[in-house]
This record gives sequence, C-alpha cells and structure tokens, in this order.
Amino acid sequence: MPSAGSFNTYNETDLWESLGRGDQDAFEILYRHYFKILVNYGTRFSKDPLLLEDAIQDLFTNIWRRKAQLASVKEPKFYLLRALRNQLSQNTRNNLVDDAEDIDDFLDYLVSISNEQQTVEQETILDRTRHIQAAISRLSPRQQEAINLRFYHGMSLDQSAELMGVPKQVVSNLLFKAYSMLRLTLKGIFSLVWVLLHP
Amino acid sequence: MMYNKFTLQDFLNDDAFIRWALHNQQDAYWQQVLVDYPHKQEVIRQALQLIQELHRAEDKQTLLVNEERTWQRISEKTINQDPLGRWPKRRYWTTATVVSLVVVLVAGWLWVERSKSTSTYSKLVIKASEKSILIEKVNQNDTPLKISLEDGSVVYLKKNSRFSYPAHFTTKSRETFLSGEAFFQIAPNPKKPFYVYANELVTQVLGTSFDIKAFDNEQQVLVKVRTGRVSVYNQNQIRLVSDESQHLILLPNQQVVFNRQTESLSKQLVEEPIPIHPFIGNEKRYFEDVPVATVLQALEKRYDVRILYNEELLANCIITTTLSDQSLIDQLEVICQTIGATYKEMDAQLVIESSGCP
Repeated sequence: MPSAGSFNTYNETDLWESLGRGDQDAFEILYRHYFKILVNYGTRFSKDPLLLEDAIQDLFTNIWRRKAQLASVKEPKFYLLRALRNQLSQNTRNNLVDDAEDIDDFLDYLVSISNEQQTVEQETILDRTRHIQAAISRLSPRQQEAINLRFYHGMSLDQSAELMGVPKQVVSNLLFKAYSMLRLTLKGIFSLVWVLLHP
Repeated sequence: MMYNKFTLQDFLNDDAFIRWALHNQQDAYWQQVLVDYPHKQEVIRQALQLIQELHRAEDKQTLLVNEERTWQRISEKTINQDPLGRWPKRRYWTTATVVSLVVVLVAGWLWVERSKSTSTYSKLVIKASEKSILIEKVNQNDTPLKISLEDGSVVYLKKNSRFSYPAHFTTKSRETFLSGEAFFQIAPNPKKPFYVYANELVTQVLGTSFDIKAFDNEQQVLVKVRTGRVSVYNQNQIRLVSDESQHLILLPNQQVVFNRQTESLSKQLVEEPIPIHPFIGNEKRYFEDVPVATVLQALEKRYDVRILYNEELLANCIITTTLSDQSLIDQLEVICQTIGATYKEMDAQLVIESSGCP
C-alpha cells in the first residue's frame, strides 16, 4: 500500500505512465504527494475546507477518467495547480479573484497598524513567521497568489502568468507592489532584511 | 548571466534563483556565482532569507482538509467502482505456502516506548532485558550459526551478526532482536506472532521463512521473503497507528528495502525469483500457438509473481514456447522479444509494455 514517502522512490514520469495504464497504486502515490500542495494553493481561493475538499475530489476523479491522455503531461505540478484553479472557479461559479486591486483594504490596514504595533512590541519573542504571514494576508488576493506561486510552489514567472491568466509583466508588477507593501508592513515590526527591500 | 547589477529584487524575480532557494537546484552553478561575485554575497544571502521566510509563512497558510476522507471519496468514484481498472485478484488463500493471515495487532505501548529515532540493536536489547532474561548469540565466522529456539523455530545467523531472544517467550508473542544478517524459519503459531526488530524495521510473521539484513553501519535494511507472508513496518512511524499504509505485506519472491536516511520503505522483486511451485510430473510446460496471456499466467502461478498487462492489446500475440524452472527474468525476456514488447518492474510487480501484435 503506497505511503506518503513512496513518491520519492519513483521517477514521476513513470508514475504518470503507469497511471495511464490504470495502475491504482500510482494513482494513490500521486494523490498522496500532491494533496498538501493542492490544499496549500487552494487556500488562496477558498476559506471553506469542504469546498476545497470537493474540488480536489472532482480534480482527481477527472484525472482517473482521463488518465490515458495524461500519461505524457509535461509539467504535472503546473497542470494540477491549473486544474485545481479551474475546478474551484467552476464549482463556485464565479471569478476566484476580483480583478480590481483592492487598495482601500490596504489603506484601512495601514491606519490600524499603529495600534497593533503596540501589542506587538510588548511581546518578548517575535514570531517572525507569524508576522510575515499576517503581512501577506493583507496583500490583495492576486498579490497573494503571485507570492504563493513563486515562493511556495516555485513556479516560474511564465507559469505563474499562465496560471493567473495575465501577461508576465502584470505578475512582475504585482510582485513589485507586494514587496513594497510587505516592506511597509514589516518595517515597524522588525528592522532586518525586509527593510533592505527598496521599492 | 551577469550579476554585477543585480539588486535584491532582481534575484527575487529570477526563476532559477528561486528554484535554488527552494529546491537546491543547480547548486553548483549558484555556488560559483557566490565565488565569482563576492560583493553580491550579502545581497544573495538576504534574498535567500527572504524567500525562505516567505516559503515558511506560505507553508503555514493552509486550510485543514481531511486527506483520508478525501481519498475515500475519490477511490469510491474511481478505482473502487471501475471494473475494468481492477486487476484480477490474486489467489492468496489457495496457495499452500500461505501459513496464515498476518494479523497486525500491535501493542501500542511497545511502540511508544521504542519510538525514539535511535532504535538500534543495543538500545532495543537493553530495553527488552528489563522485562525478561535475554540470550545473545554472536557469530564471527563465515559459516552460519544455527540457533534453535524453544518454539521450534530455527535461525541461521550469518557472519558479524548478533541475535538476542528471551530464554522463554511470553504467552502472547515471540520477540527477537537482530543486528546483521540472518535467515529465519519460523514455526507456525498463529496465537503467538513472531517479531524481529532489526534497526528501524519490525518484521512480523506467524510462520514462514525469510532473510533479514540489517547492519548498524549500513544505509539500508533489507527483508527478503522465501515462503509465506510477512508484514514489515518502520517502528518509528508506527506511532501513527491504524494507518495501514505504514506497513507492507511481503509475499514470496518479494523483498523490502528500508532506506534509513529517507526513511522510505520500498517493495521490490528479489533479484532472482525462485519457482514457488516447481513443475511436478507431466504438468504442461510446452505451449504451441497460444495467446501470450496463457504463458504469462503460467509464469505468474509458478513464481507467485504478479504480471500486469493489457489483455486486449495482447490478444493477437500468439507464441510457441517451453517453460522451465530457470530464471523468471530470462524467460520473460525471451517472451517479450518474441512479441516485440518490453517489461519493467514496479512495486514488486512486472509490467508488460506493448503496443499489441498485428
């Protein structure tokens, strides 16, 4: 019975080919490997675990149905991320990410930040990760997605652009804005590397 | 690529740089960049830190979705209701060599106590000797040392190996400890499962024969089955109880390799599968103008090895051949050449790849 670690003992191309021939174990190994990755990406679009569970179920049910055609898929991770995004948008019947950059939210946030800062300074141990996480959550949904694709999933600029359905230059701009906002947010909290991130 | 003018943001926008930061890809190249651009080292270090911090933050930003339940739902809609996708069930229960079903009922406390990552032989033995008196045998010679246990089981201890066992087994189980290599012939006793603790692996049987190779200083732990069924698991992971995927059932001609570094278990065929049911009397071994599937089925039965193929595709492949008790791999090679197919091993099964015959 395949376990989560099984994936690393195989060549991924072989797994997809075996799946194409109907190999159930290959199917489960691929599921186990990609589950966490897909949940992580899906979290950018849905805050409802059940909705995400449904989408992942639909996605893998479709993969099994179309396994023969998928045997030669070139960039499986990219393919799966894109399929999940489509599935989520199909299941929710609307656009996942509002195209407008929601600058108002961010301005509201900047106003509130001074209050928060006081609490933060009272903490003896600063949990860097938690602060960065909070700072990211203040970014616009599309900036968040760009950060997630680039720095969590390691997608290239081209792949990120294709996944998000925008030109490459737009992704670069989103990231550029994201960096400066992160810098602003994190500057008051810790004055290390983040401050060096000149806009 | 010239990095003289690269700023922090340029590095953050560089695909290859991110792949290096996240997956250590092309490490040699980037190490060289560090050497070639000494004045950029500080910026590179900062970019690395930023990427890793972002990655950590993103890693935590994730919903809790139930992996097992999702898998149950997926398999109900796919593999468990797809009659064509299901491979024929094996005939486990009819084979004479099957001694009994291995029931994996593990006393939880045992695993909790032994769950430390450094579960090598001496630590296990010290722990066990607190409960009962252990006898230890050591073999430094080339000839295997035959050890007879009180239950009738026999262990052949190979060179540079140690084996510890209680003078008297408890009423519930037979627990033994191995460092090195040994061949086991276990007397059947379904009421008292036999355990071998060898480095990180626990091998559990009710009655069967198998080899274990587990030297303290070696990277791999190997269990090879000759007859019967054997259940193998990693004792560090067994704490995640009731997860069946944590243990592997091994059948004859299969082996499991545990990689101590990656902590992964992988099931394979043994290098030279031996016939489990050799030819008796005038059993049919000459096949003339038969579908290749007939011959493959005969091989499957003889070696107790699963051979997977697409029956429809191979329907037109007619062959004439004589089977022998020689190497399974050699015979399979000849058959594949005849019908223009190839084969490969996957998860202890043989998979025939063919585009069919005209």
